[in-house]
Amino acid sequence: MWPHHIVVGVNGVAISVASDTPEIIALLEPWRVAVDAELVDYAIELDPPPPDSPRGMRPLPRLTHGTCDLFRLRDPDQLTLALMRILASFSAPAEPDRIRVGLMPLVHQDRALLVETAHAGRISPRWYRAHSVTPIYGLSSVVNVSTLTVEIDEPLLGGTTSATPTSLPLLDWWLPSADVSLGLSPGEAVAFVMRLAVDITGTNARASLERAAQLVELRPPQLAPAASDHINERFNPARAKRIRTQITEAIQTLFDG
Amino acid sequence: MTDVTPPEPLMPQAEAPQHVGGLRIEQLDEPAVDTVAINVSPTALLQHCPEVVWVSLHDEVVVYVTATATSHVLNKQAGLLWQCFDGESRLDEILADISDVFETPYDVVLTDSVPVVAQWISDEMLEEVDDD
Repeated sequence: MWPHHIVVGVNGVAISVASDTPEIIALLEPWRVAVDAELVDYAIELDPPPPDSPRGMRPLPRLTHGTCDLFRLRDPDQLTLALMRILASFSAPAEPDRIRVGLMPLVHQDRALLVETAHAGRISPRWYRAHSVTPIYGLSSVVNVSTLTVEIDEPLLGGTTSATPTSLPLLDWWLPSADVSLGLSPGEAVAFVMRLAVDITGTNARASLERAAQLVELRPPQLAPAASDHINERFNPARAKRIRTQITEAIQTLFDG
Repeated sequence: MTDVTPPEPLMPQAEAPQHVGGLRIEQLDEPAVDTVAINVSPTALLQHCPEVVWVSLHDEVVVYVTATATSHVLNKQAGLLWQCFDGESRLDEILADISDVFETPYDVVLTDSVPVVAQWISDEMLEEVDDD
């Protein structure tokens, strides 16, 4: 399906990347490893084919993980940056006092709100721009629990195209609320963080658990403002709009507050 | 030595918490559905599995099993029971101490605790110590 493909090695992890354009592959050449990969981990489509019907909407460029769409963005540079940031997240495990969680930062006035990728991807870039919120598209973030800061991953190629600082105070963090109908106890919140935590091994499990508990203690999480009922949402655009409105209002309230 | 076999199948504690005489032992998260019945001897010598880490937070204990990448949240009483498994005290000794502390009949503590202990063994949180 994908005309261009490469397997890159980052910190000993082989990651298969596919694209519809050779430019992405060329960017990743320095990390090429001689490993065969039957499956594509990440795919980036920067120039999607036009719709069959002349009245159909032109699809947006997209970044996928397996069969799952991560982001659809009009700006191909943003999408490329997201891919490079995701690849960079494999480069080193979280250092002491830090835990990597599967949440992405939304930045406003140099403060970060961590949210589920699906939540952030549901909001249009236009809304973000209009409200001076910068989404740092990616799959995970590093939280320094001793300073309560979020450390933004440098993209794999180094250097960012935005003026976002690499370390930001953690304003708040939202846990996905899809399967939580009631509030979380602190212990349940820690268990939830461990589900979101990335790169847990036998050697760092104790430290990761302690950091998760420390994070919950110092900055208790909030549940994301709306349940993600994807099926209902798909069949009910009005509900999807309500959910988007709830999320954007909650983000705005938080940053304004 | 009498083997105490938990009810078959084990009920998820979240649905049917053990709650007698002021002692309530439950695991807050949902245990595995396909739990295998495990015989737990009251004199068993048990310890935390080596691939388990845990942390106390307020009244709860969170146990993380690295082998299965799963977390288990224990309430206050279950957390207390959990912390007693040091590989040196036998189950009946631990339960006798809990019976004293909570002023609850030993049989009640035993009945409440054994299914939970069996679940923990099934979930690779606890293992028997070979004391031969």
